[in-house]
This record gives sequence, C-alpha cells and structure tokens, in this order.
Amino acid sequence: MSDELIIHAAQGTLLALQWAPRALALAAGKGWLPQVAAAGPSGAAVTAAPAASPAPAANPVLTAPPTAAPTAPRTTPGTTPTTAATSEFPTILLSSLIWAALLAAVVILFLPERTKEQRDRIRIVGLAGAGVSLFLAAVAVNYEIAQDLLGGEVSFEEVHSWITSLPVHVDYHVAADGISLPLLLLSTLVFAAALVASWRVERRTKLYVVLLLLLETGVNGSLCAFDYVLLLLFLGLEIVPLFLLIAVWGGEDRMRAAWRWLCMSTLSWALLLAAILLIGFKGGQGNFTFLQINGAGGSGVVLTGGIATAAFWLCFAACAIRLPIVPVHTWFRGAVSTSSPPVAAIIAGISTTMGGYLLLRVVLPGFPAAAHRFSLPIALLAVLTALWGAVAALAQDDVRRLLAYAGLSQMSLVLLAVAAQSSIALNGAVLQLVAHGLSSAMLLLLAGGLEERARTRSITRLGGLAWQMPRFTLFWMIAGLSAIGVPFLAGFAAEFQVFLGSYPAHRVATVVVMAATLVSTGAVLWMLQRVFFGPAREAFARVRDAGTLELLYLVPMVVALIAFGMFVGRVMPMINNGVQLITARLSGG
Amino acid sequence: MTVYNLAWAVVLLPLGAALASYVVESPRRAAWVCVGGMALAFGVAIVILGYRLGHISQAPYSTTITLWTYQAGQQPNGEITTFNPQVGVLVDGLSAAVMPTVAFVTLAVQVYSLQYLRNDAGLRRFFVVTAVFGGAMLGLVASPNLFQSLFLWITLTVGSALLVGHWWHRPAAGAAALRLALTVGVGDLALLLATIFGFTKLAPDVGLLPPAPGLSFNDPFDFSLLAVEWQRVANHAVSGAGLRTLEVMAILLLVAALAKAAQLPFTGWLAGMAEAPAPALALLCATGPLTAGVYLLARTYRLFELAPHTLTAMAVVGAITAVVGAVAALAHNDIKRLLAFMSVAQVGLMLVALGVGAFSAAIFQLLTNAWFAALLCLAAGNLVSAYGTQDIRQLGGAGRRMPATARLLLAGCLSAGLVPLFAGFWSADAIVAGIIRNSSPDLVHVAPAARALVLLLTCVAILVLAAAAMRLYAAVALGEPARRRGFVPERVRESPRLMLVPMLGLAVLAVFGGLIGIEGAPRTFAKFVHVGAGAPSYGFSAAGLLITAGLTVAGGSAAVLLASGRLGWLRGALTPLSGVGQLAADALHLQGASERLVTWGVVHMAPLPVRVDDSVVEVVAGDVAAATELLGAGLVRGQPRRLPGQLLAAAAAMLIVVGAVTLAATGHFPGVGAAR
Repeated sequence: MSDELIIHAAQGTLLALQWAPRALALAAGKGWLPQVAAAGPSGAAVTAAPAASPAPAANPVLTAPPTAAPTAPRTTPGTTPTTAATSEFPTILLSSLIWAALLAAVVILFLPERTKEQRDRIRIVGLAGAGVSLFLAAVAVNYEIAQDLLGGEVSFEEVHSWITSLPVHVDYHVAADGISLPLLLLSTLVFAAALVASWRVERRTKLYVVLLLLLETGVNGSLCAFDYVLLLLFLGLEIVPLFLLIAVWGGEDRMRAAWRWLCMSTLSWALLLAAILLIGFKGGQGNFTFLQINGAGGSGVVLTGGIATAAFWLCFAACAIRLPIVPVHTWFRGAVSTSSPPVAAIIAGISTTMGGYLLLRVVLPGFPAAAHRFSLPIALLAVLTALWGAVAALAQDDVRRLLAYAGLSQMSLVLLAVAAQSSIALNGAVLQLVAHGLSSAMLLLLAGGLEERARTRSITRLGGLAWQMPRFTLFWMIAGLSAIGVPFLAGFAAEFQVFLGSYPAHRVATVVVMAATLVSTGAVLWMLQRVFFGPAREAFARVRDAGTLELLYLVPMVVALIAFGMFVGRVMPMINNGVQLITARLSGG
Repeated sequence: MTVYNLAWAVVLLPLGAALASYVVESPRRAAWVCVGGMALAFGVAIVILGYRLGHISQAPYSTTITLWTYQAGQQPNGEITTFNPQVGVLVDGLSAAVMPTVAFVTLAVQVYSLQYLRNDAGLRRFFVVTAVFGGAMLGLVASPNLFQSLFLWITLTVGSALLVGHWWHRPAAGAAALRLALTVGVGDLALLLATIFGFTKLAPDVGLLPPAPGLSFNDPFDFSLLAVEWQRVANHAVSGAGLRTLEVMAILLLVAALAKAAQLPFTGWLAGMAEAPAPALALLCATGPLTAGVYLLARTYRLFELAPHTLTAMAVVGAITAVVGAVAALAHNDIKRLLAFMSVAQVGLMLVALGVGAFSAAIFQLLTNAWFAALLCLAAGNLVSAYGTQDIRQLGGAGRRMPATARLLLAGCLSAGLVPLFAGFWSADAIVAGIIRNSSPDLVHVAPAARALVLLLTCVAILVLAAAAMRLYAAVALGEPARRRGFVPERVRESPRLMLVPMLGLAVLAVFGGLIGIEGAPRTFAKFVHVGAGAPSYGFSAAGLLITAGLTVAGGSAAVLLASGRLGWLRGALTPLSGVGQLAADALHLQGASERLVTWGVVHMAPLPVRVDDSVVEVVAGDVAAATELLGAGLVRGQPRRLPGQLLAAAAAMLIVVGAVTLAATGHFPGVGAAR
C-alpha cells in the first residue's frame, strides 16, 4: 500500500473517530440534560465556590455543588483576575505560549521551500515559534518560583466564555500550576531541541516543521487546559501530526508503527472522551471546567457508585495507553524505534509524559474515592510494568528499543506514586515526569546521532565508540545516570521521593519496583559499556563526534537536567503547590 | 563553635576544585587545580582536628541547610508537617578524626598520579573523578543525617565504577566497572530502603519531639534524632514500632555496609580491581567504599547496640571475611587483587571490632588501614610500571633495583602484616583486646560461643595476613625477576621523586601513626573517638598484645623463610591446603554463583516478555490496527490525490466543522443550539 493511500486512510479514520463520538454526545446530551446550560453566560463561580460544603452523600449517583448564586461572573473576556498572581501579570502569557507555535506554523505555510535558503528560513521561523514558547515557559516558571505560594493556587489564569448556547458549556479556560509549569518547560525545551536536531531534514521540510509546531501546540495546550473539552481538543490535535511524522519520515516498518500510534492514541482519546462525558453529564451538569469538577476542598462534584468506577477505569485506561502500561505498551517500542530520532524523542519524552500528566490531572482529582479503592491494582500494574520493561530491556539488541523498554520501567514510578497517593510520592512523580522526559528525549536524540554516524543501531555491531565520540559518551553518561537516579541530577530527588512516599502505602510493590530499577540500571550501563567502551573498531574509524549543531540542543538539555537536580529546593515548593490541589481532593473527598 | 563550620570547606573545596578544573585549558593544570583543592581541604581538616583535640569534651556540633522543603501533610504512615531533607556537616570526635586521613590519602594519591598518569589520555577525567570521589567521601564522613549519607553513598558508587573503569578501552575494565556498579548497587538499594523504612516508622514520632534549640522542625533523618528515636522504640514509646523495627533497620544497614565494604557474600567484584590503575586502587582500598561501609555502621552504632543479634552477625561475617580475604591474599599472584583482598580482610577485622563493642578500635583500624593500604597500592603502582607486569612471580629483585620503593613497600608490608610496633599492630592489638573484653560501651555482649568462634577466626586471619604481607615483600624485593620475552631487567629504574614523596608521607604514618592509639595508654585514640557521652577507660590487655605479637611474628617470619627456600617441611605440610587457597582466591566461587543466578533468573528471562509482546500483545493490537487500516483505506478509495491536496482537503473539512461548531455555539445554527 502506498504512503498516500495510507495517509488518506488516516484522515478518513481520524475524522470519523473524532467527530462521531462528539456528534453522538451532543445528540445524546440534548436528551439527557435538563436545561442547565440555558443560562447564557454561565456563572460557575470558580474560586468563589463555597470551600467548606460537605457533599451530601444521599444521592447515589452524584452530589452536586450547592447551586449558590454566582458571586463572581467570569465571562467578561480578558478581565478575569481570579488569583492574586494573575492580577499582577499579563494574563495572555499562556495563550501566547500555546499559540506562538501555531502562528509560526501558519506563517510557514506561506513560505516557499524550493532552495536551501528557503528551507533554512522555514526552520528559523519554526525555531522562532518554539523559542518564543520556550522563553515564555521559562519566564512563567521563574515567576512562579518567585511567588510565595499558597496551597493549590493557579497562576496565569485566563477564562473566556466560549460555547454557551449548547447544552454543553465550554470555556476557553487555561491556567498553570506547579504540575503543568515544569512540564511546560520540559515540552517547550524538547520541542525546540527536536527542531534543532532535525535541521538536516531536507525532505518535505515545510510539512515537517508545520507538523512539529502543530504537535507542540497540542501538547502545550493540553498542559494548560483547565476545561475538559478544551483538553480533549488539544489532545486530539496531537494525534494526526504525530501519525504523519512517523508515517512520512520514519524508518523501516514505519507504517505499522504509525498505524499503531493512530489506533492507540485515538482509542485513548475516545476513552477519555467517554469518561469526560460521564463526568460532565452525570456530575457536572454540562459544565466542563476543571475547577468546577475538580475543585479543591470539597467544592467539586463527586461521582459515586458504579458510574464513578466505570469512569475511573475509562480514564485510567486512556492514561495507561499513553504512559504506557504493560498490556497496552507495544505501540510505544515500535513508535520509538521506527520514527526519526527527533520524533522518537518527542514520543518518549513528551507523549508518555502526557500520560502521567493526565493521571495526575484527571484521574486522581476526578475520582478520589475510586483511586483509593483501586490503589492495589494500580500498584500491581506498576510492578508488572517495572519488571517487564527492565527485564525486556536486557534482551534488546536495538539501542532505541532498549531505551524504550528501560523507559517503560522508569515511567512505572509515576504509576507507583499514583497508587500510593501520598503527597511526597506525587511530588516525586511530577519531578520524575520532568527528569524522565528530559533524559529519555536526550538519550533518543543521542541514539539518533549515533546511528546517523555509525550507520547501525545494533548493540552487538557497535563498540568502542568513545574513541571517536568522547562528547557523545559524556552526554550519554549524564542522561543515563540521571535516568538511573544518580545524585546531583534530576532523577535522584524524583526517585527518592517516589519511593519514600510510596513505601508506607505499598511496601512490597515499592521494594519490587526498586529492585526493577536496579535491573534497568544494569541494562542501561551494560549498553553504555557495549556501545561506547572497549577497543576501537576499524569500521568506525571515521565517525565524527558531536558538532556545533548537536551541542546546540544537547547542552541546554544537560543544563536543565543539572539545574533540576541542583536547584531542587527552588522547584519542589512550586511542584508541591500543584500537588496540594490533588491531595486536598484525595483527603477531602 | 565557628571553627567547626570550616567543615563545610573540607567538603566543598574538593568539589569546587573539580568544577574549577574545567576552566583550565591544559589537563595537567586542571590536575593541579584538583590537587590544590584537596590540599586546602586537608589543611582545613587538620585545623578542625587540632581544635577538636583541644576541646574533647564539647558536644558534637552540627549545622545543616535545607535542600528542599514543602508541606507534606498527611501521609499513609502518619502526619508529617513538613518534608525537608537537609544537608550539612557534623563535627564530633569520629568525623574530626577520619576527615584528615581521607583528605591526606586522597591528596597523596592525586600527587602520585600527577606523575603516574602523566601521559594518560584520561588525566583530566581521573583528577575530576578523584576530586569528586574524595569530596563525596569527606561529605559522607561529615554527614549529619541519613539522607546526605544516602546520596553521597550513591555518588561514591558511581565514582568507584568510574575509577575501576578508568581504562575503559579494555573490555575487562568495563566489565569490572559494571560488575562493581551492580554489586554495590545492591548496597545502595539496601541503604535507600533503610532510609525509607526508618522514615516510615519514625518520622511521625520525630515530629512530636520538641525541636532542637534554634530549629523550627525536626529532621527525621538526623543521626542524633534517630538515636533518640531508636531508644524510644526500644522503650516501646513509639506506636507502630517495636524491637522488630530496630532489627529490620539494622539488618538493612548491615547489608548496605557489607555490599559497600565488599564483605561476604559481596566479595565478587574484587577480582575486577586488577583492572583499576594503581592510584585508583589505592583510593578504593584505603578511603573509598571499603571504609565507607564501616563508617556508616559506626555512625549508626546506637541502633546495633539496641539490636544485639545484628552485632553478633556483624562480628561473625567480619571474621569469616577476614579469614577468606587473608587466605585469598596469600593465594593470589596478581598484586592488585592481592592488595584488594588484603584490604577486605582488614575491613573484616574492623567489623569484628564493631561487633564485639570495640568501637574505637574499629575506627583506629580504619585509619591505619587507610595509611598502609594506600602505601602498598602506590608501591604496587611503582612496581607495575617498572616491571610491566602485575604477577608477583615475575617481579623480584626490587630491593636492589628500586631501593626506595622496596623500603617503602617494606614499611607498608610490616604495617599491613600487623607486625609489632608498626601502625597496623596497635590497631590489631586493640581489636584482639576488644574481643577478649567483649563488651560494648553500653555493655552489650556477643554470645560466648560466637565470641570464641570470632576470636579463633580473628587469630587465623591475623596469622595469615602477616604471612600474606610478608610473602608479598619477599616475592617482590628478594631474589631476581623471572625471565620473560621482551623484559630487560637492567631497564628497571627507580620511580621519579614526585611518586615517592607522597608515599613517604604515607609510610611515616604507617610506621609511627599507630603510636596514637596504644591500647591502655592514658591519652589514647579511644579517648577521642568513642560512642556515647563518656570515653570508656580500658586497661592494658597483656593477652591481646601477646597473642597479636606472637601470631604476626610467626606468620611473617614463616612467610619470609618459606620464600627464601627454607622450612621445607612447612611447605610440604601446606601443599594439600592449596585447594583451600584457590577456593578463597576465587572468593568462595560466590561471584560465579551469583552471576549464574542472575543469568538464570534475569537475563535468561529477558526474551520472555519480548516474546509475549511479539506474539500475543502485538498480534492482538496488530489485528485491530489492520482492521482500522482496511476500514480507512475503504473510506478514501478512489481519491488518489497527492498529499498536499489531501492536507488542504482535511484543512477545509476541519474549517467547515469548526465553523459549524462556532455557529452552533453562538446560536446561529437553527435546531442545534435550540436550548436557548
């Protein structure tokens, strides 16, 4: 089957899959619902919702928030300072961050790409868009760290009424807290690095850059979205660009991997959609705002009974596919090993991180009771994933597949923290998402550079490369050491907190996952030894070391890894501020 | 008190020098920067030691900064208000005594390496690693809490692996580094688990204690608070924790220390020490992981006193390791492996001392071992670079050809052989006296049967250690080198002065340093380094002195006489025992066994999940994918246009849909937004 046919197929499937459920939901929603959304400018008071209103447990299906008269209508566009932080800061920051990449993509659409100079211009515009996002993310993180944070505050909040006349009330509601800000920094950094790393892509450059920027928009948007429907829209925006990036620029067997990604991510998306529809219609009465549904301190809606269980597992399955967790992980190794290296870095570093983010953002606060009830199965899944990935990594001969399996084992720490649900473990999990995203993206970019130079990625055929590539070796070691939790790098504080927080809740599971990290450490170090150390080989005598281009994207990532490791004292209070939103929800109900 | 704040400088100067060395262009100058940092650290450590010696009765001084902090709130194990891991320094007799030795040995090794690795391509890397390694070790010594100990402990593992794998281009060196990392990694996990376990059990209760003056919180990792907590647990004052808690934590710490100190059953990676450069070997044997394990046990000694069974276990394991290590040292012909096993045996004696309650003797042995082990390893470096071989059967005649090295080696061998009047003798004497006394400061005893076993094994170990050390000297210094192809004995030259001077400093300590710790003397080491508030006053133990002196003289002279061809009857009597020697030399085949275990348990299992992924999961998922593919292809069949066209079409479709949604949303679409 030719590429083109497959791409048509992709579009067709995608459109069908994306719009069919939505249309169904709209149609069904009309029938289901009382006339709640008819109130025009909705008055879902975000922060004004009474903080201490224990939800009555009489209703078996849902307990709604008290329908108090809206005290602070927040529908006037642009003038909605709901926290002290936002009143001091221009509130278009997050929007600019999200849409800068898309703007660059639109500009690039009108640029020609015939000559080398024109293609360079395209890349520069693309990098400028990603760079603006990165800069804004750094500014936002820096600003947030400097704040004297109170529990569960969100910053940079923007709320605009968007869809009000449908039964479903949707806001353009973006905000950032201690969970999303470090991840925003991670994603913008990795995307900028990926753009630099793909500087030498000459085939369909324009499309490539546009797709990367579209993907970045989707990722950054879903990290900021505080409205369920908005979150779904942004998540849906990631699917097709990544499919095309794998399908067009991938390596051997790319169509299979691309299809696998398309199926699994669309499935994940649909599951999440179903869960969110359940939340929205059964619990939120058509309002899809996070703070309404997931409000801290008991102000939100609690689904109970069988519906809560069903919605919890739907949501969890959606995240499990993304994270990935063992029974549904095979798309991951294929996608990582066949796509082009920058895309693989994005998949391993960002796409999986999104799975962890959704676990923390949607699953835990959305279903505190169910999460508590099913804590043990989640811990068992974490154990299974950790062991599976670590052991399977030992058997790999392909550098990238080894990294994929080892990454599986690393991400199980996040799942363990989700099972433990203690604040220390969750803090560690957020840091682990950042640390793992950085180190695995870096390792895959390095693996790409390696196979570009050595013309193979079979570990048995590589060897002694440190002779020719001392810089590559150094970078590889730093990223690998961070991945296995060595002090002074980001990974240590993350793993320490995850284990420390998880042990009281799940003792055996924690110990087994710890043992699995030793095995995956062995796999990573063994690969390091086989690929880089040993006597020099004739075949690689003329291999070049990392040049300016590679240093340009590797050095900032190393700096970030070390910065997150050394200045963990600045980062942790910010992260904890976001985590408190979850823990308040978990303890308060 | 402010003098004690200088301990920050001791820890940070080597680390700062490691960073600063990257500013300098030439590797050799970078090396000098690292040497300078370590020299300053050594000077400051001496100042602290001097001040502390003048103020022996002062309470331990510790100061910390918060690494990170946040409100943790309710945890599954109880209420914890804030979570705030601390880093800092702790100055008491123990750390003040150990810091100067660590700094001095590292400094000596670095100065030596300036010459030894002069033409090595990895000169800069080696110095950075040694500086970080030394800094981590100093930080571990000065560590006031379990958290800092943990992360420096892991740093030390990484540093050790980098040192062993310094010549990474040799496949054996890489394999040795990997083996080290994984074996010691077990210890890292054990310490991590001990830290977490202690936190789980004790942190909620620590929060209830009144904070120390000047602090607003209690650090649940802090050693002094942990000691209080352990006592409270022993008094059944902590809910949810009992004697079993103490025992579990003690066992975890013991496993961590055993793995770090290469005691049985974790001896396997020692064979890989043959791949390390001689200066790296000196660091690893003298101040590195081997002693770090003992030091951790000394720091947490209070816990073991409350769980006395673990003390017995510690003594027995240490004694067995001492015998096995000593016999292995006697049996090995590779000089680096020989020295590694000899150091492990010495560390085993330290564990024996800790186990029977001779706390000061253990730390004293830690210091003397650091002096003579470093000296011996550096001397081995001289020999290896002059003779071009590590096999002691091919060395020989160094007494004539390399007189200075031979004399330094003799000083080291006499000290390591625990021969009377040299440093090693006094610490071994203190250990034997401790076994005879068999009473910890808190009056905990080892069971009589275990004590008899430990005494017997220790005597055997001391005898064999003396023999092994003197055999080394006799084999190297006496006689003539063996004939080999390409080896010209006349070309063997004495090493340059830059290598001999640091060795001389170590030799002075190895010969005379023991005088600070004569058991029973009035102003002795035990008065300065002790556990608990008051220094114990031990009397002079004539039995200990006589046993140690007799055993070492007998073992040492027998080895020298055997080497010079006399005592034929003894040789004949010992021949049947060579199998035992080989067994010990292979460290009881433990490495092979554990590697087979790992191979069967883990590596052979590895293809299984992959196969499941390939055959089950992939096929199921693949069918779904194929079905979707077919469906998708069917939907768009007959529109074989080019890609940009497709994209445009998709964009147009999306535009229409978005427009429709917007219209519907704003109420312009009749029928859909009819809720209005």
